[in-house]
Amino acid sequence: MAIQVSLKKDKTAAGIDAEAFERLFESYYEEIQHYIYYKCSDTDLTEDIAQETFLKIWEIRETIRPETVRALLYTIAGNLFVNKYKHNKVVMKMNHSVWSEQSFETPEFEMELKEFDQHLQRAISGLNEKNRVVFLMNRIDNMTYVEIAQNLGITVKAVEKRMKKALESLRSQIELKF
Amino acid sequence: MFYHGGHKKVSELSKQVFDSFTPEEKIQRFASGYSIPKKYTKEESFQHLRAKMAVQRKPEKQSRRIIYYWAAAASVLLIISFVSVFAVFAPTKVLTANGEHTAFDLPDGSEVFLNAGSKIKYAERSFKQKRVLKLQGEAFFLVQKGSPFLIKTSRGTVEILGTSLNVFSRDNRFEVSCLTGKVKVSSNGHSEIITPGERTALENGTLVKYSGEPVDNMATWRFGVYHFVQTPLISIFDELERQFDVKIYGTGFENRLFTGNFSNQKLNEILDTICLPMGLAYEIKDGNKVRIYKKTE
Repeated sequence: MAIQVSLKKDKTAAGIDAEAFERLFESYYEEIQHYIYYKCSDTDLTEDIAQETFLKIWEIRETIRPETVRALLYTIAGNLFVNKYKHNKVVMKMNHSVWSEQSFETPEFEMELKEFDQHLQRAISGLNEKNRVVFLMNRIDNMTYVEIAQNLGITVKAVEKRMKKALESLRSQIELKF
Repeated sequence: MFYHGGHKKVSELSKQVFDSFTPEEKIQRFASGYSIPKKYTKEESFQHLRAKMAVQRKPEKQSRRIIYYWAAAASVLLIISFVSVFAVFAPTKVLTANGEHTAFDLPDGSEVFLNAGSKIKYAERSFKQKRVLKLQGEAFFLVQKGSPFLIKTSRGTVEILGTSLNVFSRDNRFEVSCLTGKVKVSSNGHSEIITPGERTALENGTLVKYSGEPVDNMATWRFGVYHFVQTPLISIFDELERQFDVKIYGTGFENRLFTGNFSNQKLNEILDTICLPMGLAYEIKDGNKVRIYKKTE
């Protein structure tokens, strides 16, 4: 959220310089990595595409309008992904803060959470790609529906729909066990 | 509460609280605590990106066509003479002339940025199994993780235990800077391990370690930026000869030191910056010869 403030400064100028590019990297590199990881769960491919995306932006830096650059990053990354990705099964391997920040009352409860974690990651991996991306952008990157809609170039209604579908699917998977 | 707002801070989660959540709440709250595995740290990624940014890429279409022609030419050549098969076993050489930089990938995917007037030799076929290369001059490396990666120079050997570093080896000067990861440098039977922000240089036959230099100041030649701190004018003129493909000669600069920065400037601007405070003057002859002389008022 703090990101938008830094962008407004550039609004008057067309094109970005090296300094603005560095700020761009600082602000958006991780969320672009996340976006690609949500699609494929492959860290190598994710890094490749994130690098390529920012390199492309660097190469066309003179023609960029700073106020639309964030959505442009998503578009480029998405296109590169379509070109490079060979459809493999998605298997998410995410870390959870609960394991590093918390001690548990009982080992049984810890086991229960571990199992929940595994089921949830498996269920997330099994989601339809579009629904998964929206769900995780909202949950992990803390983006609002409006932000997600702007970044992906879709309507807020579409974001709501995907979010709803993701939750329904996850709930049906989880309810079987919990 | 399981998680508070946007921040992923976990307050102690008890079984009682967890059980009180609906399945949807469990999913929503739990999913907020996930983090994504990364190949590199953000700093490493930025170093990689900066290195690539410095090299202008050719338009893709054009190069692809050229590759077809080359492929056609190469297959014809192979059919005509199988003598050329032996050429495969000859080491691959990459050279840069003065005034020229280049970047290329090694067979293992590591990237090399070669400064002007430098040379690298390696065995194309066996490189993946045994990562060894020879360097003359100066190069910046982004090394893929894997088996040991050795850089041999006339003055010493560099063994890479990490990801990015700069090696300078010309005449008597041998200097290695580490940007990320860990590097082991050996020379004359003595070795030093350097970590990010450290560099080691060969001085009077032994390796001396320096630390505290910002990583951003290292290997900046990739971006056309040069920092000189108490550097002999002779080595600065050597560098300018390589960068601009000119000859610099004259008198009045022996045993003198200079401190200053240059970034993507023209040769005459750089010469002005150096000569003025040093009480020197210069003239450029035939576009590529520079005579330096003492200014006489």
